[in-house]
Amino acid sequence: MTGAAAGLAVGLLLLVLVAAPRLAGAAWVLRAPGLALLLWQAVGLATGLLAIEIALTLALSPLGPTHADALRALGGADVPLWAGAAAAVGALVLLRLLAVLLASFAQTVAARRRNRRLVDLVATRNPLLPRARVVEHAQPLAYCLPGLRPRVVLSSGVLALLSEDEVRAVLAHEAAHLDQRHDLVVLPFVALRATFPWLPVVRTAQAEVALLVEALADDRAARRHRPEVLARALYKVGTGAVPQGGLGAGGTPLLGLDEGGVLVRAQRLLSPPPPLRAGGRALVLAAVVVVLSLAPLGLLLPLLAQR
Amino acid sequence: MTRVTRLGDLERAAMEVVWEDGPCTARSVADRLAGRGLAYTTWLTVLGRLEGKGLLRRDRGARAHTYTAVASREDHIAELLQSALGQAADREAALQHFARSITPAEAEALRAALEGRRP
Repeated sequence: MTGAAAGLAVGLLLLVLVAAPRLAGAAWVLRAPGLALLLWQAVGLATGLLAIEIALTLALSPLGPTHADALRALGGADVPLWAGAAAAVGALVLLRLLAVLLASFAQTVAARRRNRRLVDLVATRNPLLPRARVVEHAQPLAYCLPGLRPRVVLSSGVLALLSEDEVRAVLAHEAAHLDQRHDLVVLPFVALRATFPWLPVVRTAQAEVALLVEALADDRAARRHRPEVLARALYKVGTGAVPQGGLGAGGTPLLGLDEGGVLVRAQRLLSPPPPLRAGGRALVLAAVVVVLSLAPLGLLLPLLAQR
Repeated sequence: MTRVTRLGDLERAAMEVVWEDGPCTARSVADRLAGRGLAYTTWLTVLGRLEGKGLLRRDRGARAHTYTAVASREDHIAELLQSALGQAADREAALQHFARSITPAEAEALRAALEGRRP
């Protein structure tokens, strides 16, 4: 079964070294952010499942040529000591990863709850903005707290900075986050980053997913509000200032500088790329199916190797 | 850091009074919020709960206990901002900001793009 484990490892490396970087560098993702998110989720899930399969396959490999044989042998008495030790180490590593993942979930939820309690303590409501809580502070601030008791928080500073239609566009953006539960999409990737902070691919994946979720919320807000109004709000909140005209500098593309994705989002709003066509969408969906089938197919590898 | 638990509407109203008027007795809170038509004992309970949550401190007075805010509203707001603007990855997942701060160079490019839109 070591051959099968090697096969699984090839699948895992393909996902991590080829699929994820290509997806991160692709231009089409901004034309279909929802589909791109689906593909990221599939890649993340398949990578996790394959890693678990590799550990299991290696641990069971001395006991029999297939998983079934190995499990049958496990029931019997003749298990070599080192195989038991290997399995125990594998299980410990797995448990440790799971613990870090769960701790990261718990931290996120706790941070959210702490902030919500403070919001409920100090924020006031504005009858004109029924979904928002307003915090008295000059710093421009606009965010939402997802969860079962969601909150949209604006500072008085941001209300002073934005015009009314800009405020409404921002609120529509935040409402999209809350209604579509984007936090649940982002959460596993943040937890993954907390678990493997030294893996560049994990960092890339988390940043990409965060950007795509913003693009999705922008799209939703741009259905009811003018996209340039939302782009203007992005500028104002991003800089904390109202744009002053007259400097007359040309638009220079900034590659690799836009860490928070604000610029990409604004440019996407100002000159929207055409949505992905049916053929492209079908291709992405096919990729999702292929990626998701990797782990189940991997279970069949030892049987193939036996023939 | 102050531990803040979920506040009911009454608790918020009582906190407002203490923040605005300074140390209060249950009687003075009841008088200030007489419009709500609640009994003095209700406010006594509310103040007790706020004390239990660590938001108010109770001092023995000659006739009645006075309640003082442990931290000002501004202190709590400062704490809120600190927790909202944190950079840790788990905080990024906890809150979803509309827009992160951008650098001057990014701002310049974005401003140019915005101006290109205007006739």
